[in-house]
Amino acid sequence: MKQFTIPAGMKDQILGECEIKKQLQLKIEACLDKWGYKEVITPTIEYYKTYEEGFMDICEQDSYKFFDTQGRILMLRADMTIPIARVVATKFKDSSLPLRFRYCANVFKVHEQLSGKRNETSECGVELIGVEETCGDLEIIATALEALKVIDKSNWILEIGNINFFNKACEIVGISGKKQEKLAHLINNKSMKALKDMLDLSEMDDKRKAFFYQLPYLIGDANILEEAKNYIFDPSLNEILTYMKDLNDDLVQLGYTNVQYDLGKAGNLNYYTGIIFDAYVEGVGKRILSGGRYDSLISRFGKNLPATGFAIKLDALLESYTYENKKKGYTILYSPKYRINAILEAKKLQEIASVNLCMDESIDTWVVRKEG
Amino acid sequence: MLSIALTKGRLEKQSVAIFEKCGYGIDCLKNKGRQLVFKDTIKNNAYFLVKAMDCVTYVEHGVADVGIVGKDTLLEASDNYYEMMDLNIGKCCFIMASLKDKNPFNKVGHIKIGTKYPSVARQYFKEKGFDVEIIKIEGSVELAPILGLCDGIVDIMETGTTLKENGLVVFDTICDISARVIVNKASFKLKRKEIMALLDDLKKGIGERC
Repeated sequence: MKQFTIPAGMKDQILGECEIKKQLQLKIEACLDKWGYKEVITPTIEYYKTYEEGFMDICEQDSYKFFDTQGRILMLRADMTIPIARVVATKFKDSSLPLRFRYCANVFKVHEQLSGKRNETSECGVELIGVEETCGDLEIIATALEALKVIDKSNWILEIGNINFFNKACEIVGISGKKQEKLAHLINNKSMKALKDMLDLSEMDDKRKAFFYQLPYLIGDANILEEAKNYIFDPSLNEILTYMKDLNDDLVQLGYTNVQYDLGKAGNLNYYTGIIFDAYVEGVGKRILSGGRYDSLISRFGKNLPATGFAIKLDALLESYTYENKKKGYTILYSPKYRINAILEAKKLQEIASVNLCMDESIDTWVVRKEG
Repeated sequence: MLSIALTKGRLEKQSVAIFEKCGYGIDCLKNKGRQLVFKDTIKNNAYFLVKAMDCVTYVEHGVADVGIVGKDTLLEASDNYYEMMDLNIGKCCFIMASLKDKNPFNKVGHIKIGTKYPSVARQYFKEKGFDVEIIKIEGSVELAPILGLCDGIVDIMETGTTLKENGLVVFDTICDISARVIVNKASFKLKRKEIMALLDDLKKGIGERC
């Protein structure tokens, strides 16, 4: 017998899943639209070298790849930020700034098999291009917080870090390249034992060691930005804390809560250049949103522009979302002889609700039933 | 409430002992029948016992907030979690060993390495600049070089007795292993205070000053 299955990491979305997902998607899109973001649709397939240029350290085995007829490597898009960076650099050469783009698209990443992770996921997001730090960062965070109002649970959090806090410290101490990557990895994963071992072996003085060891614990509400001052060893680090503090003051003034800080976010080193943030909600074991500033990315495609953005992980957020069932519906049971009447009746009712037609030999003519 | 995944077997007794020292209500874990989920009688915790690799899977998916698992397992698994503490129990190390006169590093040509831990072995030889073939073996790895399946092995060593009795020599120690506390990233953001309190208790439990 022939068996038709789907490839690893894929999923059919059926049995009302689509309706729920669409409702959530439309709510988010309506919000992003209000903030002036124009929708873009880019191809599902990009050249592999576009992503290689964008990510720099792209993990080859993480992507779906194949060849075009000329033998060039193609790839299913792994995110939407890089395609949009490419579009901005190549098709909006002399446009007036800022540019605001939004998208809702499926992106692809190959995960380890049998790990229960999806290789195709839907993301709804925005890219804000041409606005510098202070104003751009505030706007993008405010937009993210507004979009997250679709969450109907009380326990959720948007967490902000700043990659420069770690990078600047490394620069001053003189850590770079592979060593910096390793340190970033350990701090990102709060691998305390390995971090301690690495710092013990280094030649930094104790104050600097203590700073790096403390980074993973510098997480919490705005007070943490004050507490962090006890560990910094250079005025330039204080500048970053002041920047974060000012951002927090702006957010407080706008009345936003649900914000916390994690100075131990070292992020992706050659992609992000400023604040990075993600969001979590009770009941979902992964990020529901991630974003940050990436001022050097678009220049890799030929145009030097500051930019920031975020993506909401629709499928993850869906796990905590409760569907609002607003739909009324009707069912028309009809005898085959009255099929014309049934369809005419259906067309009338469709003006107010959806209609299911249901052929039933035991019925003399036709009957309308209200559902729900 | 925190749900905590404990690794069955070798680490089980020692981890339960630490929780007991912390004053947690885990008597049920000491006299378990076929039960799989256990409620703490003092703290607001739930525990469940799973195999080592499953512990990582449960924590990664956030079904468990916290897990206790050996570093050997973590090195083979992906790393999408916080590894926040070394419990200093279940101590042993990864070694590279072979027959006395058969150091793989001295061999010219194709090198074959037998191991239960392919990721660890691959990473180790990559760092040494050697391109080797890894053969996955499920148990009694010491047999493989003796029977001539491979030129050397990468394995866990506790006392070294098994190796010695089979005439194998340790050529290199790769890294130390002990039990670690891992935390789901999302749980840490949303239940940070509870988790930090647990970590502080555990620190006291293993006698480390905070």
